[in-house]
Amino acid sequence: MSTMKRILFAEDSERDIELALEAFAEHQLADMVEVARDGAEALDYLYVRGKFAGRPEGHPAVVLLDLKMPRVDGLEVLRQIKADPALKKIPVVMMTSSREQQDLLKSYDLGVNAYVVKPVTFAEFLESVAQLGIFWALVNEPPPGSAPRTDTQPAT
Amino acid sequence: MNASENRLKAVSGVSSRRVGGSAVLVTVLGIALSIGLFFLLNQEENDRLGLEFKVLDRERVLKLSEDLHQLLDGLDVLSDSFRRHLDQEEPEFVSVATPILRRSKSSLVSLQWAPRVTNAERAQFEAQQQSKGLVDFRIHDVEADGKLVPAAARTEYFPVKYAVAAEGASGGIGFDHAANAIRQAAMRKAVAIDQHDPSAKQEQQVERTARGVFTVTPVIEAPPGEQPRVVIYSPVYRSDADGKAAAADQLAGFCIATIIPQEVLDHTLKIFKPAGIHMGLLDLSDSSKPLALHLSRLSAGAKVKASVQAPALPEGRFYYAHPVPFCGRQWQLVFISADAFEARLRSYSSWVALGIGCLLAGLGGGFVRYHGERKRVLEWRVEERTRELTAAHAVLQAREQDLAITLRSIGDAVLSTDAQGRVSRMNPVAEQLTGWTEAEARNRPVGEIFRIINEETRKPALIPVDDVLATGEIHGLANHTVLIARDGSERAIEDSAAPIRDGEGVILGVVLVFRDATEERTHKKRINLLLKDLQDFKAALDEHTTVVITDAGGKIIACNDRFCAISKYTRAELIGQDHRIMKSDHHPREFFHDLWTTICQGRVWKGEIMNRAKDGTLFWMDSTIVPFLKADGTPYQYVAIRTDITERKLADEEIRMLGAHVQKRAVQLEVANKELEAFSYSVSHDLRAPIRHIEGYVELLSKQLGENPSDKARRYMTTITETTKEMGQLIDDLLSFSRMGRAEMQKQAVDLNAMVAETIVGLESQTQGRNILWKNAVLPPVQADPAMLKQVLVNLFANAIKYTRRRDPAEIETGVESETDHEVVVFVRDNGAGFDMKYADKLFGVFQRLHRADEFEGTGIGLANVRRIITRHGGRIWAEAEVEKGATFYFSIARSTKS
Repeated sequence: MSTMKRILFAEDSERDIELALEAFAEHQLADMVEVARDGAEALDYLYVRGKFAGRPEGHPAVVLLDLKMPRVDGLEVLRQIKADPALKKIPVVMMTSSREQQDLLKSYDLGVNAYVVKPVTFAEFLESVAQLGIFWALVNEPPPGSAPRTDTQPAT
Repeated sequence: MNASENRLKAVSGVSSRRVGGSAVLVTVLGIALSIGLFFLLNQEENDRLGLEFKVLDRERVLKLSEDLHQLLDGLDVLSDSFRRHLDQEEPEFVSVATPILRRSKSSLVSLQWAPRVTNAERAQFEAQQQSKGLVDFRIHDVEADGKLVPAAARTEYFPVKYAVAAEGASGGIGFDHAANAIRQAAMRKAVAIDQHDPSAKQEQQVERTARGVFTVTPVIEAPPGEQPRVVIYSPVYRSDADGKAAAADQLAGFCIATIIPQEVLDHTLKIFKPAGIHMGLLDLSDSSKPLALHLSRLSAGAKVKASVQAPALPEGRFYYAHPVPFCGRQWQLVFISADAFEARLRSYSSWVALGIGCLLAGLGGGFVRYHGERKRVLEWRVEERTRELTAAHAVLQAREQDLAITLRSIGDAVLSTDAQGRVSRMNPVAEQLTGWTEAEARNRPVGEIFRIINEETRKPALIPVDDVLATGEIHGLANHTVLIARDGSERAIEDSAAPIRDGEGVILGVVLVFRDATEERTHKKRINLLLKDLQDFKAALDEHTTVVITDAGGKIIACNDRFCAISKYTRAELIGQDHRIMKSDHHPREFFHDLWTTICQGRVWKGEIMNRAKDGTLFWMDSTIVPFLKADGTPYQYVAIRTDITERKLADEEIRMLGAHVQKRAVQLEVANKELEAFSYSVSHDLRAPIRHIEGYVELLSKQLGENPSDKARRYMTTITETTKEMGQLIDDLLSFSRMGRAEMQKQAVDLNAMVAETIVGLESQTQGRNILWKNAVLPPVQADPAMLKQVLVNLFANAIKYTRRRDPAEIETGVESETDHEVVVFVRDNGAGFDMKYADKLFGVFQRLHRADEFEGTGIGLANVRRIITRHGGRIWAEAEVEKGATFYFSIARSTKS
């Protein structure tokens, strides 16, 4: 029986995924993370279709989105989530290398819950990814309809 | 019939109608007066007759009243005899009654005594009477057909016991008065009134006599074919000897009188012989059913019939009615005059007056008519004579009038003189101009009336009249003459004089014709002025513009020299041509179509036209074409006024080209800007990721190497990490620089002092462990985007801190170099490394550095960014420095209008 992942992490860069998973692993959060390789996959996961047709029911506790992705970019995924009454309560965190004002404005216009600029140094990156995972997946009280918490409490 | 007669007839037609009218008027007035008089007299006569009639009748009424009362007195006497002696025998009754009956002449028909007999007493009474010798005596009733029948059984009877009657009348012995309902009612009323019954009294009249009160109620009876009769009942009571009222049951019987009203009247009126007067006696007691007791038979002409039922009255001119109350009945005596009455008394004076009046009126009318006819003939003769005279003078008058009218009508003043130069005639215009009336001026010397002087010399001018009289020649119009009017006012005039000659050519006088030329001369002056103005305008116009005049068809009919000069055609070449001679082929057909449509409709066209000169060069003209219109609104010629604008057109073209070029460049710039934006966006995302990755993997690698990597490996990894940091910094600075160029500016008042302090605090990480002496002068508020200005301060301060690294103490100073109303120049000075002014021009370029990186680290973007910000704020930035002596950076920025 596959368990429900509580963090959906959408990122197209393999290196960023590896580094991020490393960061999650540091805090024993790796098991809770489901990775989508682009925006389309992220939507497939949320709508339980395509590659994720057989996944367990329930919404993730948080969606971490990279802004720039091939096929469907982060802003479009954000727009679809916030436009769908069934999904719009899921917290979405935009993660990006850019500090561009236009991206920030657009994201907040679409109703993003948090906007995080990826730090350049690995240590900071590690820290911020871990903090995000811990806050949204464990600390934050998810909206009704999200998957139940895992039985194991991470040792922080 | 000759004309004269005809005219007489025509005139007389009018005149005779007038005479006839007068005659009729006189007649009608006379008749009307007569009729008026007639009615007046008639009224008088009627009034007189009426009065006479009334006098007569009042006498008759008095006599009738008297006679009637005499009858009642007789009845009273009889009743009294019974009151004194109730049980008298028949001879006693007869002795009293017979004289009364006789005295009444034939007015009384009968007098009776009817005792009261109760039903119980009836048989005894009848027997008693029979025993007295009246064998057949019965108490009886009379039926309608006159048959006697025994009285029906009743409680009481009033049978006739004694009676005296007029000759031929029946006494009616034994007849029961109670048998008849009307008689019964009359008897009951008599008793009731006698008993002082108040209700009865109200209904009935109470008659008084000298012997006391007694009442009677008549019963009217009219046997067929006879005069109406009235029966009067006088009650008698048993114990009532003195005539006082007694109880009803004491009633002993009635004395009864039967009278014929007609006989009373006949007797009464016999003495008056009232010829022409009808008379009637009416019983009006029952107002719904008046009864005629009698209607006069005295007049032969009266159609009166005695009738109980229908009191139709004869028609008459005078009517007089008088109430005659009798025995409780309302009788009325009526008199009506008949023709005979009037015939007897009338004087007919009114008719006489009418007749005489009409006769006189007729005579008057006739006289008037006769007199009028005579006058008319006389008038006609006078008219005829007058007409002849009029005709004789008509020609003369017409000529005179024609002359007068002509003179009056002439707009010029005309004055004529006799041979001595004395005024003989003046027309109204002459009167007006000279101020003299013709009457006043007549026979005065013309020089007195017609005073003229020379307009310029002010000396008396030669009066043309004198001249003409002297020479006998016509004196033409003289110029510059001023006429002085009687009141001294002056008028410019023009005059001429000509002699008047008779048939033999002898000069009889002079006619002088002159007119007011004031206005004319003023007009002339004004026109001359206007003409000069026009000339000047034309000259001015020719000086400035070209003028071409064409006819309605567009053929050139005139042009000025300027146009010839510009078009390079001679005037001779242009006249008769149309503008196509200069066509440049620059304008489309529609352009000229529009032009022609506009001016053909009478509107002004304005526009710029390119023309071709004779030598083929093109020239531009700013044209205004004005149509000159006929009365019907269609143009008869066009005037084109044009200015050469070739140079301006060329300049315009140049400007247009430049504008297009600028626009093109702007578009290119816009594209470039867009590309730059896309580039920097991409950089901010994509260039940072690899650095982050290098950094991340170096970290992972160090973990892999374990606890003790070699010193070399450690140094390599440190170098890689530092390099990536520098790379990151470089990217951030570049992006910041790029963003500064594009970001929207939000200008507002900025407190520079606060911002300086804030910036220094923000740079604490770089100043830690340093000995820096800050000298911050007070700075004025400026107008700027705060975020951008902060960037300027951060960069300048960071530079100052960096380049004073080797100083102890380092000195950094801020202050105002100079200021104007609009801007302020701020400086930031340090005592650091400075630089060689040789390279000052490179100072603000991107990636330009004046120090090696191992001396002072940096990306070479900071100052480029500062200059970009200051430039965008409309300010300037420059620096002064000396190697190892420090550097000063100056920038100017707008002052805040708010203090």
